[in-house]
Amino acid sequence: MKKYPNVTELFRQKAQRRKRLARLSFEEKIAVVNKWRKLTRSIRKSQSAAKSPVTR
Amino acid sequence: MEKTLRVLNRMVKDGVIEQYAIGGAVAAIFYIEPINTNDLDIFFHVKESSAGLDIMAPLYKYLSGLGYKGQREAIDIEGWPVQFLPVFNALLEEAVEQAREVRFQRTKTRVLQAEHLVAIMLQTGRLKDHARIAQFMEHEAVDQKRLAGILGRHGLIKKWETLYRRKLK
Repeated sequence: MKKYPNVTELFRQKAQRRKRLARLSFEEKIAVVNKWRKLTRSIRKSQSAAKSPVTR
Repeated sequence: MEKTLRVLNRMVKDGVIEQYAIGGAVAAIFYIEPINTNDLDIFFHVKESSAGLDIMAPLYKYLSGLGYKGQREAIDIEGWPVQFLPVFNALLEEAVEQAREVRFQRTKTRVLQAEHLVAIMLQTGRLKDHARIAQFMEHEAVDQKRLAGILGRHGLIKKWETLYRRKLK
């Protein structure tokens, strides 16, 4: 039978990270959200640029 | 965000809205981990005299006068699309009244309490609301006794127990 790696510790660390993020100040959390919003806007921009027909 | 909040406070000072509180994802962020969101939900009390009229018109007129433009259902105020939501039931009324006053940098604002947020999400009942309730419980962000009181006052205990098959402590 195939042996798979034990990822328990990875999931535990992931949960710890989420708890650390929850302990950030309101301002720090909004700063994180603002970074995501900027990223989302640039992804949407690239997506609409990719969909636009090429004009010759 | 701070500039956006200053505009909201100015709206209260100028009598455009009576009182407001931040709800939705941004309020949730105050209590749990950051969540990706694109807008700022603002619950506000409707003036008694506005009942039956277009309650949003005075807000849009005031904000348009300050140069803020609509972005579909939201208004872009200093870089944040703000979704104004009038209080439309007893739970929201209580939630806005009992919102906690907090500071964002140097600006005062009001955020719905964690327990009210959970009750509102339970009442709204979309799949993403249930996912977010789970995050609140995971982060132990609610006082279960307080939550039980709110759910009881607003007829939501049975819904909670049915959905989550657990009693609150």
